[in-house]
Amino acid sequence: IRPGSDDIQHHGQKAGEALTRTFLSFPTTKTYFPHFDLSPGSQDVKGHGQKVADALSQAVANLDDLPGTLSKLSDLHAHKLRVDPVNFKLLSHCLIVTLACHLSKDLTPEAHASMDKFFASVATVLTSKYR
Amino acid sequence: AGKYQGQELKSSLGATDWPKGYLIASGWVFYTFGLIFPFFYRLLVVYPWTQRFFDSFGNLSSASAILGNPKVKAHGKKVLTSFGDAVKNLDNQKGYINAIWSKVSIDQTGAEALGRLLIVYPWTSRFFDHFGDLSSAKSVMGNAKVQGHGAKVLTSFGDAVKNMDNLKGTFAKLSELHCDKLHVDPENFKLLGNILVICLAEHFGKEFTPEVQAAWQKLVAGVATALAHKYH
Repeated sequence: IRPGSDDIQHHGQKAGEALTRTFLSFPTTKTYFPHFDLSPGSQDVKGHGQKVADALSQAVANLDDLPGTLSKLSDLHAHKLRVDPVNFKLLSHCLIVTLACHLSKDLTPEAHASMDKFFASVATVLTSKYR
Repeated sequence: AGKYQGQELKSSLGATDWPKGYLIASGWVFYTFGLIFPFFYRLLVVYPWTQRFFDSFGNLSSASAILGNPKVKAHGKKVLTSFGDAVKNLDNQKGYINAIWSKVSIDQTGAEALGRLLIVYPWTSRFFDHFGDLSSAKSVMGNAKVQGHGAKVLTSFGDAVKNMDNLKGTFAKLSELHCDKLHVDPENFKLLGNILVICLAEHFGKEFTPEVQAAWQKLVAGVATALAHKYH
C-alpha cells in the first residue's frame, strides 16, 4: 500500500475524482450530500475529496492502529453521519477504479488486492461504532 | 414538430437494435408532445389514487377537469421531457459501451479479470479446485486454465453487449446452469463485474471517464441480475 501511495500525486484530486465517479455510477450515494453542489468540478466535491484523502493518508501511515487513528471519524460516522455501510464499498470500488485509470499496469493484482483489503478495513473501522 | 421528432428518434435508435415496442411507444409519445399529454392525464383518470401527489393542482374532480387543468398539462410536459433525456441517455450508454468493447482483447482481459477475482477475493477459488495451482498471485495469473476460463467468460459477456435490451433472455440458460449445476452464489457475479470495470479502467485510463464507467456499472449490474434471474 505504501509504495502505491507514494506514487500517487495529488491525493486530494484523486479522491475528488473517486467521489465524482461514485455519484455518477451509484446515484443513491448522492442522498448524503443534498447540501453539496455536485456539478462537475465543484468546489464542494474538491474540498470533500481533500478531506477523504487526508484521512486515508493518515490511515496509511498508521496501518497498525486503524481503530485508534480513525476513532474520531468512527464517532462521526456512527453518531452524526450514519452513512449506510453499503456505501463504503461503493466509494472503495471507485477509489480503486480511479487508481486503475491513473496507475494502469502499476496497479498490479497484488497492489489491487492490498488496496481492496485496506479500504475494507477502513470501512470496518468507520462503521464499528454503529451499534 | 412532434411527428418529425418521432421519425428522427426511430432512425437514430437504429431499428434493428431495438424492439419494435420501444420505437412505437417512443414515436407516439413524441408525436403527441405538442398536443395533449394523454399518458399523464390518463394516469390521473384511470388510477385516481395517483392524484395524491398533486393536491396543489386544483380541480381534479372529473376527467374533463383533469384534461383541462393547465398544471396537469405543464407537469406532463415536464415528465415527458425528462423521459426524452432518459432515451437520449440510453443511446449514449450504448455508445460508451460499444466504444470500449470494440477495443477490448477478450482473451487478455478475460484472463486478467478472472485472475484478479481469484487474487483479490481468494474465497472465489472455491469453484476452481480443479484448476491446479492458485496459491500465489503469480501462479494464478500464469495458470492456463484460469486464462482459458477467463476468455470463455468474457466471450459470453460479449453477448450482453450485443443484447443490452434483453439481458434476462440472453442469459436465461446460463442462469440455470450457474444455479443448478455450478451452485454459484450470485454475489460472485457482482464481484466479477466490478473487477471487470477495474480491468477496463486500467486499460483505458483517461478514456474510462466517470460517464463511461457509469454506463459499464449499469451493464455489469444488469448482467449480474440476469444471471441470478433463474435461481430457485
